[in-house]
Amino acid sequence: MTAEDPPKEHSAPAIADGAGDDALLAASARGDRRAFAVLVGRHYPAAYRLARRLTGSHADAEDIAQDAFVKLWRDPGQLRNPMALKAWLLRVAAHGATDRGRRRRHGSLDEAAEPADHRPGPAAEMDRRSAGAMIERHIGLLPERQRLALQLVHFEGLSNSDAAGAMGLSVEAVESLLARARRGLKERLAGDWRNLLETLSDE
Amino acid sequence: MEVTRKERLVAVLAAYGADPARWPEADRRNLAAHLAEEGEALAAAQALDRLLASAPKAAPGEDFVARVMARIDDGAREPAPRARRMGLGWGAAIPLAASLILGAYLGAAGDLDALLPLAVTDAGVDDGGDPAGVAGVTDYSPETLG
Repeated sequence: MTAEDPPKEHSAPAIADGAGDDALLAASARGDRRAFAVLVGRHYPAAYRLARRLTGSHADAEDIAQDAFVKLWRDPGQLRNPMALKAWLLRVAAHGATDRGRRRRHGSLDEAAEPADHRPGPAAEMDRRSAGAMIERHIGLLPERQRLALQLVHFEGLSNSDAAGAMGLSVEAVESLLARARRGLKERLAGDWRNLLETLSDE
Repeated sequence: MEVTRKERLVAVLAAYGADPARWPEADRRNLAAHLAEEGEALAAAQALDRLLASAPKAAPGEDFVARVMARIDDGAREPAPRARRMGLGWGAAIPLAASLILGAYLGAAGDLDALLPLAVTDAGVDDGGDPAGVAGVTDYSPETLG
């Protein structure tokens, strides 16, 4: 599809919202905007979440996720395996986030603060919300590739081979990043470990 | 060295956590039934999974579908990147190929100087490794440097 040959609504029967990614992508390649909108609704949040976790910025994450879908719309043929659409979008979003060069430290979904500043004192109450914010901050302090591996596999449910493809690494390398991410988090949270677990099990 | 089942199970718990749904398929098939054998590693993985599950789940702004579709409508009026790449590829291929052939010929003939402007090859120009002419300058005032 080009500016000279803009996408046109095709005359084929409307595709169902529950259709598979491959069918929706094929329809999108024929210019079916409605099929493409279904794909956006299905996968945009994951692309956004990944970009948000890597950049720590809501605005950047929105831009990056949008860019990924615009890129897909303009050249759907670049995706060799339509069944791996989610992994492809996450890879594009990860590249977009890296390109932005943002290394903002972030923790809560609001803007960043150093973790120590939010550590409750011995007598302080920790509720589930502040516990979650603390964990998010510590995830944000992990090295970028560890954070990316954790996001792809743990939070977005990609298989290790899809994550490896998205990151341009071997499966073994992804596994190593995951193990280091989890170990690093555990070490970072060691001082609050018991308190966090009690808070989360109380509620 | 062959990795034992115990070693692999500990490694899988350390990397993927306690939920076999996140494990590689082969490990799920081979190890899920043996989870209880590694109680300590399993408990540690479950605890970290619980903490990770409490991290807030970021959500995009409302109407994100409409915003993407609006971007697409805007972008459809611009030349598509793919089209530009295709145009550059074929348009540049012929002059690039010609340059390559010419360069190979000149390199083999050893006659490059004859084609270059005198100013470039003039042996009388010797910058002495100081093309800017600042080697002996110790006064860096604007007057001295001109």
